[in-house]
Amino acid sequence: MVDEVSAVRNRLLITLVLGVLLVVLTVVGLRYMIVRPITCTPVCIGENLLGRDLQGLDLAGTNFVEANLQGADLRAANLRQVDLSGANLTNANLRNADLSEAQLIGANLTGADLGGTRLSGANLTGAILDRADLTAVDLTEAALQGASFGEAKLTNTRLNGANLNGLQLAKANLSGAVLDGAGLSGANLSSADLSGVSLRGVDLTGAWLNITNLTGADLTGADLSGSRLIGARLTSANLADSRLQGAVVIGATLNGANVRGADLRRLRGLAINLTTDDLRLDPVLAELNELQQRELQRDVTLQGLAFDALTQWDPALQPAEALAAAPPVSAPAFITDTAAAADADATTTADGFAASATAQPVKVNFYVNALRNAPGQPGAYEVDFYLDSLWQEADFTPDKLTDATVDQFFDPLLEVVNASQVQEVGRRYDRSFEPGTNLRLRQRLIAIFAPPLDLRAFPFDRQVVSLQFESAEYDSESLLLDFVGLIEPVAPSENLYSQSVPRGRYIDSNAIDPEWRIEEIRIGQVIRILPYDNSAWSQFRTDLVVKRVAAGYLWRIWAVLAGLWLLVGSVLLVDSRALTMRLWLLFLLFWIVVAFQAILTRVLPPLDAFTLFDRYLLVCYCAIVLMAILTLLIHLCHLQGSARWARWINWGCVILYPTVFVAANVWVVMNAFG
Amino acid sequence: MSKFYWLLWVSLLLCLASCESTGLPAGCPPVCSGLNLRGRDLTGIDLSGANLRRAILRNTLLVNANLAGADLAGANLARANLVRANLRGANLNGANLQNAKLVGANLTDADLAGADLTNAVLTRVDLTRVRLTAVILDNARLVGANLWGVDLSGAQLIGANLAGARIPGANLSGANLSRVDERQAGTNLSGADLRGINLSGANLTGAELRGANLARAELVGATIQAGLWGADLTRANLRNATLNESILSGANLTAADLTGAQLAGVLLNGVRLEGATLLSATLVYTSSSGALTTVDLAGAHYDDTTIFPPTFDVTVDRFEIDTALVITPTLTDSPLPTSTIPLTAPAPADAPQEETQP
Repeated sequence: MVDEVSAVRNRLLITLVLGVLLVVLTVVGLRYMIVRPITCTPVCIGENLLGRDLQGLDLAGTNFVEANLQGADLRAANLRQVDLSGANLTNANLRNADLSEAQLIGANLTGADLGGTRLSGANLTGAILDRADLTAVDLTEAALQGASFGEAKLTNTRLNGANLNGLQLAKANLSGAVLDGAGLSGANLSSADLSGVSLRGVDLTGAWLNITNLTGADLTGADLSGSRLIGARLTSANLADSRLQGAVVIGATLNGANVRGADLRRLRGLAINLTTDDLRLDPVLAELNELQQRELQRDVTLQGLAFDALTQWDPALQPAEALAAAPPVSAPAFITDTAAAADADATTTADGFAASATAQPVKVNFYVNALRNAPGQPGAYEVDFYLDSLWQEADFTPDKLTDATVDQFFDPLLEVVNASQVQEVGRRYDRSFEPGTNLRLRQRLIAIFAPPLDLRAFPFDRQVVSLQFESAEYDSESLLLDFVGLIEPVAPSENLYSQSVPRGRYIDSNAIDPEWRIEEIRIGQVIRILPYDNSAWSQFRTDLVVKRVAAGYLWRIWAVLAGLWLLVGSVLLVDSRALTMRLWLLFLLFWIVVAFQAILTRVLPPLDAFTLFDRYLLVCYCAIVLMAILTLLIHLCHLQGSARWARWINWGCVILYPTVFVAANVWVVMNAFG
Repeated sequence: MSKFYWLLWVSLLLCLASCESTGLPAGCPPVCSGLNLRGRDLTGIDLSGANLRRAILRNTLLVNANLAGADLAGANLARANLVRANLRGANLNGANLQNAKLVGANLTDADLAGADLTNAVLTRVDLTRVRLTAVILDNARLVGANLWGVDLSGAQLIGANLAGARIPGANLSGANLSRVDERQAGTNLSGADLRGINLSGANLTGAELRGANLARAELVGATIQAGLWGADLTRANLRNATLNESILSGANLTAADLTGAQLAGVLLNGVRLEGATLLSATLVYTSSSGALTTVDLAGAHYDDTTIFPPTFDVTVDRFEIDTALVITPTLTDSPLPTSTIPLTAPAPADAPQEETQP
């Protein structure tokens, strides 16, 4: 009777293991279906390659006209001189692919990931790139006539000098993009994000810029004649020597903008001139609800404009100060107060380092445009950010703010001390409206950081990317850095002062790779003493605490490993006398674990640390060895005639194994999400 | 006896196999007229010079087929796959090519006059030496196609996709490039090269011409109620063209001839009009609903060589043109009464004298 029960149990277990094997083989088979090499090259006209894994393949010169590559994985593929005209590349992953001299005429790239791709000489005429990710792509040599970039992510793209006339760029994110000298006449940039973008000398005649964010944008010498800027945000924008004749600026905000030498004749800024056609023609405005449209029906706000005698005004909008021919800009009243405060605040601090009364207080501010993995450098991050230094410049008047005179200004010479590589993309002096300062130096920097990464908890790891700034020349006796967002000033100290700051204000919402999530932004101020010469340096730091998004890893790797671990324990359910059966099962499971480890090694990036997955694999191996030892021990008990002992050991393990399994996994989950 | 049976079976199977391989009856080619080859796989077949008049090749697989010089007049090739087929010198006069795939096909010297290519796929196809008069290309995909200098007069291209196509010097006089109704997408000519094209009398209602190059194009009497954002219309001939309700934001109309053109309700903000002629152009009209529709010339660039309708008193204040005419009903205004709007704005007594724009 007992034998029959054991036989039935064994059959059930064998069926179970075979079932698992079948599932594994099916998964492997499906994977093969996806990754199998394509055979149609070099002519793949109209081929259906939906969702295929073509990662890293050399497909140079292949004809993919009208091919269906929807959702295909073409990461790092060599696609030089390929013809993808009319192809469907919706949601395709083309990250880091080489598309040099490729023909993408009329191709549908909606939602495609083109981050880091090479597109020099590529033809994107009439292509649809709506919602595509083109982060940090160089498009200067690409043909883009008639292309559509609606809601596309174009952060840090290079478009300088490009012909973008009439292009559809509505709701696109262009923060950090370089557009100097580009032709954008008749382009639709409504609701786009152009904050802080350099648009020097750009032709924006007749462009649609309704409710566009142009905060802090540099539009020096730009031609905005006849452009539509309804509800646009131009706060602190530099419009020096620009032309805005006939531009519609109803509901726009130009507070603090620099309009020196600008032509503002025929500027339409009064709400009375807003027509129903103005709101109907642009789909971005038409989709606003009644309340939102009503908010646009207000006169343009022009407070705190920086203008001069060369500014040409529209009579209806000329501010009273300009009419009265008042001095262009008066020095803020707080300047003398700050100087007096500095005099009174001399001497040394409690820490004993030198903080001279003559130390120049420099306020610092930052804004992170992008945070991503550095291309070709595993474990390194690339951070694209703005660094603002604001201070009180002696004898400064806004009319001195010309290219010829900026060299005479003080420069705090801030450098990123912990970066392995720093590139200054742009620098610009501007008037500062921050209390206690009158001059601002804005630098756009792209720095690569290689911080020591703690990958022991991978993929549940949390990393800190620290940006540390110090002056390259001025020590703490000459210069003290102070964060602009502090309500109360912080006394300089060798002990790090740290505080959290709101994420939304200092980092772009789309700045970070989808693999990561910003948990916290901390700023810090410290006086750093160099031990070899005891010199003291004022340091400002920004710590970006990022957490890896582990959901994908959980399902694809962690669940499988946990399943394997549990499956090893199922050997205990086989009849304790069936030694051969148990050992065969363990042997089989051993090879499954080995195969999975091989797949993991191929799939995951090379990680030096002993990660969570490594620990799971080790646990699986240990469990297999332990089960083999237990099987032999139980078999020995049977041979010695101690069947009772064998049964007790077996049942003890049957209870203990799942308990340990559950406890260990709960601990892992608690640590991961706690 | 058994040997005889075996031989019979083997010969029968061989016969079936040979028939299946070509699917063609004896005598074809060369004479295959009226033949029904519907749904057959004829990949790589050589039918050069064959007579396939009124043949039924619906759904037929003709990939890499050699149909050079074949007579396919009146043939039914609907949904046929003609990818990389050689149709050099083929006669496809009046053929039905609806939904056919012609990508990579060689159509040099082919005759497609009067053929129906509705929904056909012709992406990147070279049609430079193809006869295309009165061809029907409704909703056809002609992305990046080469139509340099072709004769498409009287052709129908409703809803066709010509994005990035090269059509310089082509004759599309009297062609229909409009759309059926407002819900449907118009003909897509975004980024197309249309230099010197003849679109006289053509209908471009609802067409998308974003960033298109229409330099020196002939658009005499054409109906263009279309989106021409940033289009290049340098030296284009738009005499008597109807552009009502079109969008030409940022377009380049340098030296364009707009004599007698209908420009009511056209958005011409930021356009370049240096040397352009707007003589007798209709810039304003009162619609049937009583609402005043005007041209918007805000921020337009023009100079002494720009010719405006004589009713404009440009010597007083040129910039009054836009302020005088852009008085469409505001959100708070009541509809204006139907009336004749004077084209010359009364110059305010203290109006500043504007300089001529460069």
